[in-house]
Amino acid sequence: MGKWATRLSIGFLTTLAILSIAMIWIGHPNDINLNGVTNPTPPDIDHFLGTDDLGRDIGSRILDGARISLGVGLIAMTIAVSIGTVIGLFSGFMGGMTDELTMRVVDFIMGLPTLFIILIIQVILGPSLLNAMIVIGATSWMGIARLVRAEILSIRERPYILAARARGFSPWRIAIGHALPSALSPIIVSGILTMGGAILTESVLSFLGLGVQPPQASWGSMLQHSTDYLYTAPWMAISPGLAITLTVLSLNFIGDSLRCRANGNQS
Amino acid sequence: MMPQYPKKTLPIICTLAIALAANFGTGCARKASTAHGTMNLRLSGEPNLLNPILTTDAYSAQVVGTIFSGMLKVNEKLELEPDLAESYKISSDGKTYIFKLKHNVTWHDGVPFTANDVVFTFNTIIDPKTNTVRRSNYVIKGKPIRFTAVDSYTVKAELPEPFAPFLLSAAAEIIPKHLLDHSDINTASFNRKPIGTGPFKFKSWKAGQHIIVVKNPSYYGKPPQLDRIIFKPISDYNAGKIAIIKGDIDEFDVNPQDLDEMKKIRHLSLYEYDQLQYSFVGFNLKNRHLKDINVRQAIAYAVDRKAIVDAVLKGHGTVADVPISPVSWAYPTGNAITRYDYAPTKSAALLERAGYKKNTRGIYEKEGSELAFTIIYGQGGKASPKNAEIIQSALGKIGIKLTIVPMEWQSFLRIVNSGKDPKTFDLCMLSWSLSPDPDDYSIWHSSEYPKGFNFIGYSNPKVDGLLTRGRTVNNHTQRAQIYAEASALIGRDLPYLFLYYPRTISAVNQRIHGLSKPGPAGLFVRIEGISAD
Repeated sequence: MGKWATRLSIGFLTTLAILSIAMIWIGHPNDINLNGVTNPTPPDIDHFLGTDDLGRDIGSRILDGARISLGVGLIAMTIAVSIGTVIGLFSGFMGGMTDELTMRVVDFIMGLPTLFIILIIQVILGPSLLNAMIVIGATSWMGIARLVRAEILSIRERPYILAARARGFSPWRIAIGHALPSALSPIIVSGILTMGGAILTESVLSFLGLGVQPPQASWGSMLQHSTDYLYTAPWMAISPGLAITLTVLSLNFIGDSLRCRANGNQS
Repeated sequence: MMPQYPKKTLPIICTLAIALAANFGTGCARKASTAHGTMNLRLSGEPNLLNPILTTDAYSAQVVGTIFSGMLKVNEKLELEPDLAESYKISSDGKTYIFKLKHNVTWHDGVPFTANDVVFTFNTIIDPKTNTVRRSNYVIKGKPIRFTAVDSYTVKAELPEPFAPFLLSAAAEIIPKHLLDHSDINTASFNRKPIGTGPFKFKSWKAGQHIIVVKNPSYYGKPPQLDRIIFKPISDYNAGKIAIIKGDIDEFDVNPQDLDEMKKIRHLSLYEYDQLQYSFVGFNLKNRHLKDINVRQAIAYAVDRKAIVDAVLKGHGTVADVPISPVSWAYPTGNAITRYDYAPTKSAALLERAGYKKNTRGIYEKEGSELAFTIIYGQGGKASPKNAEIIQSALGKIGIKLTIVPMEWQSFLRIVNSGKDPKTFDLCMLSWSLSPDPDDYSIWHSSEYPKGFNFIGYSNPKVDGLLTRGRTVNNHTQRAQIYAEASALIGRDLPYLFLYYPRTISAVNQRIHGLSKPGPAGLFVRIEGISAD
């Protein structure tokens, strides 16, 4: 992948993040405007992306929703990376039966239908943004755990680790102080790709009404809102749809380019 | 629409069915045979059974209505008229009903229909082993109504005490004794290949594809014009819309935002009519703030319900002020109704009079307790989230904080129907589908709390008295007055924020003729009179 795609992606995400944070002070994304307007209005000079069926400005809501999407992505990624790293480190370093057992448990969890589990948990605990972030994070760490374990397995027999052992360092000190730094780049790459996945999952949850709650806008809930108007007001669907696609695509470009660098720039 | 569904389904079941209907996955539309004499109808979901005493959903009832008939039926004016019965008499004490049955009626398998079938049907409903939600219609104060066959064509019903809404329950569709007498009604194979007395005979049922009923040539009434009706389960709205445009189905309820598009389609006629239904926000009257009528009035004045009708229903509805539909024969006269029209300036005055003060965060409070509420509703419908957001925004402007909590339907019903006092909600949004009889004792009588449909804890001794009397008086005019008065009183007390009466917009293919006058009972009240080019 070319450098321009990465740069564009970074530019896009940075702009989105800055604007979405600025919305906290300057925007009124939830202002319902019912002054005789009963239909969504198409994009015009006042509303660059049009309005929805309650007279709300779609552009403002997209930016406001970006904070949700990026935030959920970041937090879910942090949770997933934390759990994944700890379990991967533990499994890789212990080796033997413990490793075998841990990895089979990871395999088992990977085999579970994730979205289904998320839906059940959201139904039981009640839909909320916090729950969504935690649940998404808690169900997407398995890939990272395997990656970290594989990395540790290859690192732990290297001379510098053996040397550290010979000096009598505790296993945790070796794991965190010496092995983890070498495994950092695959963790970052995998984390960024996980973030893309988390953003998509949040959209699905909000689309199903189990993510953020009104009046807070989210891209998924905006899409859900637009289904009644697919033919009569397509701009209600196009903007959030594009926002989701571009964000996930950008994250994937960045992740890919980081991976290429880590692997010795094979591209 | 479902021509017969209001008359025999509990309101909550209807509401649930509507929600579920909106919830199901994608159906499949096959190329229709638009042949002469065939009508294709959409079902908004796949029926589970075709037994009139067991069904709980509107789409099963829609099919069942063509196959079965009852002693009486509801006509376009929501009045009862004889169907399998020729006539009926009510004793002067209102406790004995005598039904004279038609003589020339046979079941679809050729066996004659008699009074024994009627007695069997009602006794089966009353039997606690039967899996039916209809039993409560035939049990008065814990005592079941006694049905006996006086002779082959005379049925006597003896009520433990006078109960005027019984006549509507007596209109329930009748099932054949000779086919069901010795089998378990809940699991009988009959439930999937029914035999009735109606204008159409069951022919085939291919799950997920279609249910076909064909003309009953020996029907006792006017001979059916159609050769057959094909019911197609299409749960997805957009799939249904494409099907009506393509001509795969002949009738479809259109969302208001698609009305303009539908008007342009040459082969469709559009009909708009009221339903026996209203949407509302219920106040939990055990809440320390909401039990104060000033607070409820402040909320009512703050919400522009006309704007909700315009925005959510695109104007295809009417603002509601009382718990009874304007199409009901017991609707109160205009000047008896208290209207809380949009006047947000009154809200602040009311709250201040009730001792509330705005705090630093701009929210009214009294004794350190803020006016901050949650509103819950069951997910599935399109209107509820929009209503909630508009109400939230309106209350925010006057200084009342509202948090929206949509819930999965079962969780929602568990909170609302929990037999506990007090219940754990502040405000709840719901719709009632009403029966053609105005008796809504189960919703408003104080004895229906905490168990019962009076889940908000409404209690007004005057309303209690009227509701009890409405059940014992048989005179139509008197009953109309009683229920009009009760409705007006309830409307003034504002236990609900009544939102609106939605209207149905039906698109019908112009090759279909003989529709009944559009109304809450639908367009196919006289299905035998319908024909197709």
